[in-house]
Amino acid sequence: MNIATLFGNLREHELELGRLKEEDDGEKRHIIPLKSFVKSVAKSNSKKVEYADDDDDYNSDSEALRLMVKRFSKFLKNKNKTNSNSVEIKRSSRKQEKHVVPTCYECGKMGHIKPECLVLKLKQKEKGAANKHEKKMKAYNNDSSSSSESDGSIEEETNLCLMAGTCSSKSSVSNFKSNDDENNYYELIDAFNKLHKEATKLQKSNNKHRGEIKWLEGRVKQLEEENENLITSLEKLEKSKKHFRSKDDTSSPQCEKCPGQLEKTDYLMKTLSKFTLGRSNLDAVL
Amino acid sequence: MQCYELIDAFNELHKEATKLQKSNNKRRGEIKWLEGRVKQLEEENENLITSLEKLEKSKKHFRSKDDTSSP
Repeated sequence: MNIATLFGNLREHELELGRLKEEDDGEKRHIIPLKSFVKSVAKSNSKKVEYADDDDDYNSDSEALRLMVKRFSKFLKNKNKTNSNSVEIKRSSRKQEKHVVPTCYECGKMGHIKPECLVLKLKQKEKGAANKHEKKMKAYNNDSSSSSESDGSIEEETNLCLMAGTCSSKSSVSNFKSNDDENNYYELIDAFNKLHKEATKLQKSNNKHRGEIKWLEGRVKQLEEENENLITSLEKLEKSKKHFRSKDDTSSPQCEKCPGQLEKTDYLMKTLSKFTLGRSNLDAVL
Repeated sequence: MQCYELIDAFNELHKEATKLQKSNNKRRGEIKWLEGRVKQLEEENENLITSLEKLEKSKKHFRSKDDTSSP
């Protein structure tokens, strides 16, 4: 219960009290002449009757107070009843709204609302990305065109007011639409996050590949240098081998001509001739 | 407007991701080629080393022959 409503209730209570007082005063005014009449009739009675009158005044005051309390309690009861009645009326209207079978604003059939319409879903699937592009273009046009914006906004406002005034079921449809938009927005955020993760992974693998390529290029350079060195050393060795061969070829005739070898060959030839002579003599003797 | 900004950012990120994917594939191909080149060079080096060893052996043999023949 707010302070404003409390003050309002108090104000109403004060007004009611004032009204009741006025009524009581009116009654008193009515009574007073009666009393005066009674008093005028019974003026000749004893003093005891005057005391009784005082008691009657006291009783009338108490009765007035009781009346006031009763009326106030009635007022409170009525007020509670009116409040409860208004609440019940609201509840019944809501129930009626709930029980009303919804109509589709897309195909016009009963039993479902526009976001649940199959025709609309099929259309949305067909349009697909084209709708997104159109929305983008609309947003861009809204940003760019300032002259036509004011008229358009006024028309939109009027349309919105009319829509709000015509029926409450459309608001539920708009709520569904907003829910769909929110769902799409969150789905888009999820997709964005996934794509961001994939992109970061790709970036990391790209950097890794860069490092690998650098290392492999260095290794290839190193191997090429080693290869060149080995080829040069092989060429050198082949040259030296050729030189040795040529040396060997040139050295063998020199050996044949050298004096030590000649002496050896002469000695061997003499001995061989001696042996051949001895063999022929032995054959002749035999 | 936030939704459209998000869509724009999503599209830009998608473009970058596709570029990264392409460069990644290109680098994979480069790595494969370089690995093949390294293997080839290593084989060539091994062959050269073996031929060098043979030549050195023959050189030693010639030298020893020369040493024995010289006295």
